[in-house]
Amino acid sequence: MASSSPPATKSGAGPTDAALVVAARAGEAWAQEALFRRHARLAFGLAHRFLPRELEADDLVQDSFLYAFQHLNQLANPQAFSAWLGSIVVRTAGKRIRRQRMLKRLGLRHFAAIDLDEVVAPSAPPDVAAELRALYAVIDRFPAAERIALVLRRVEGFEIPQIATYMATSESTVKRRLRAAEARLERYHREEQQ
Amino acid sequence: MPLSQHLKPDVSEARMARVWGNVRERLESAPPARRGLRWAAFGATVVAVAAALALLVPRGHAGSALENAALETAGDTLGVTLLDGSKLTLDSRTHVQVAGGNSDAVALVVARGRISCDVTHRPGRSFVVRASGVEVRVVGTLFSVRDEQRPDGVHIDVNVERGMVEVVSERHPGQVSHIAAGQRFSEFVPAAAGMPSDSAAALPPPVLEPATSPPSAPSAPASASLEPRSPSEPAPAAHEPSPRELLDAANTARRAGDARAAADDYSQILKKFPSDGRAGLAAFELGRLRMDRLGDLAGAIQALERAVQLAPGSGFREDAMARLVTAYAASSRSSECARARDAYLAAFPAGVHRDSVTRGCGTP
Repeated sequence: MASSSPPATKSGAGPTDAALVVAARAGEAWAQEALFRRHARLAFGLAHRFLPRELEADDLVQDSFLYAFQHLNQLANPQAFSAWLGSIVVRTAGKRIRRQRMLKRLGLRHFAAIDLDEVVAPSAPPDVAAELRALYAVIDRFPAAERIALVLRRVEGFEIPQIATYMATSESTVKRRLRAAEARLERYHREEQQ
Repeated sequence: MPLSQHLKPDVSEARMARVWGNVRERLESAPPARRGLRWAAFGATVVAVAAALALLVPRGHAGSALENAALETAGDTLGVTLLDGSKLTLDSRTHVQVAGGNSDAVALVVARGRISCDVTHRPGRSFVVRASGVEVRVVGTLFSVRDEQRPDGVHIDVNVERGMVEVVSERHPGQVSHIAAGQRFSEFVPAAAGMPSDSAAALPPPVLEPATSPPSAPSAPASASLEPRSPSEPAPAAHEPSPRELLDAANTARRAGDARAAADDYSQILKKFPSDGRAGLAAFELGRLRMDRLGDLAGAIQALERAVQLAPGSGFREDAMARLVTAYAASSRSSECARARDAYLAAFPAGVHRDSVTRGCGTP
């Protein structure tokens, strides 16, 4: 595929997302790669929080970018690529989690337990580490929608309206899912303590 | 401060390069998504509608959690492993209904597409695959069943790679064909013929044909063929998975945690399609799996060396070369470790693995 150099800007910050999206829509490979490099850390971060196993997170990022590049024409505001990509990662994660749960319930697949040492940074304060370890120890047992809502709220620290936007649902639905997720989390922790 | 600050995704340049390489490859090879099939862009999907009902069946009932489940793929392949180790691989655009799925009787119905089954032998367990009136009974074998719906009718093909299966067609009642490894059973049902059981006796009996014959002519109401393949003759091209299909199957297995199945598929790419553009990536992924999941350092070294050789300009080359240093060091192959280290430092003097590679073989 032919490639050319991205147009530089006077500020040196490189082309805007909007410019990259326009170029990527026209099939410019360099623009796709520039968008990937600019937003990959956001996608990896989100993916890792939903699917902490490295290979699963990689595949989620891969599928999300692929979907984004194949559906760039649906992005109404090219400058909003980052938020749009985030919502794609969230939706794709939901689909993957649902699929995993289905295969698991059908007895078609076994999934290795999440390695908590691979999830929580060694530098995390003890109380934060304990909270994260408690959450990720049981996260695989949550239905997809509750899991997504809980991670966005507890781990990402998103507000309800932001979660609703990412999950493409209403704020009242998000609140309901969060209530259910918190109750489930408490129940699981009680069970583990008994 | 959100808790996410204390999670540690290791987003190295090498990891990003690897994922970007995969995205780019899929962008270049995938056709543009069609609007009517947006949902399919995410690849394989397990259809849960019927399964949701089945899951309500209590344990110990004659049915099971599997019964009435449906497996469906869109643009991707899907690999599933049963609890007994049997492996099913669905090609793209395949729909398989699980008609029975308790521990003693597995019955799959291929509504469309192709399924490959590597069935573990279990005494007393029946394993049956049906496709448009053809029933394949399995003992313990590796085979595939394809149900291809065309405008002129339905083509059903059964390929056996290992073991033996029994094939019964409802259009030829009372006739059981035993298909051994290397043989193929095929049947064509013209669109107008239908499958009324009371008219089956009027249909011509199955016809045995050489393996290289073209598909049966649609002039016959229904015809079947049983054809041997010589040991040296490869499987018919129509049934040979392409490098892309193998890569999809490997990635699907890897995503689902089935490292061994994934490694098998990556190995197949290297063995059958060494000059394909995906071979380098397959070698790298195989090396990673052997190193990280399968505990096969010697195999990992072999695969990683191959990855470096096959894809000199790839985004994962740096990662592969760094892993080689680690693998040689872990194998106590110090001279080769030093060679791999020097090669990495020469190729990537400011690489992201520079520090670990420099220390990788001990004191230089």
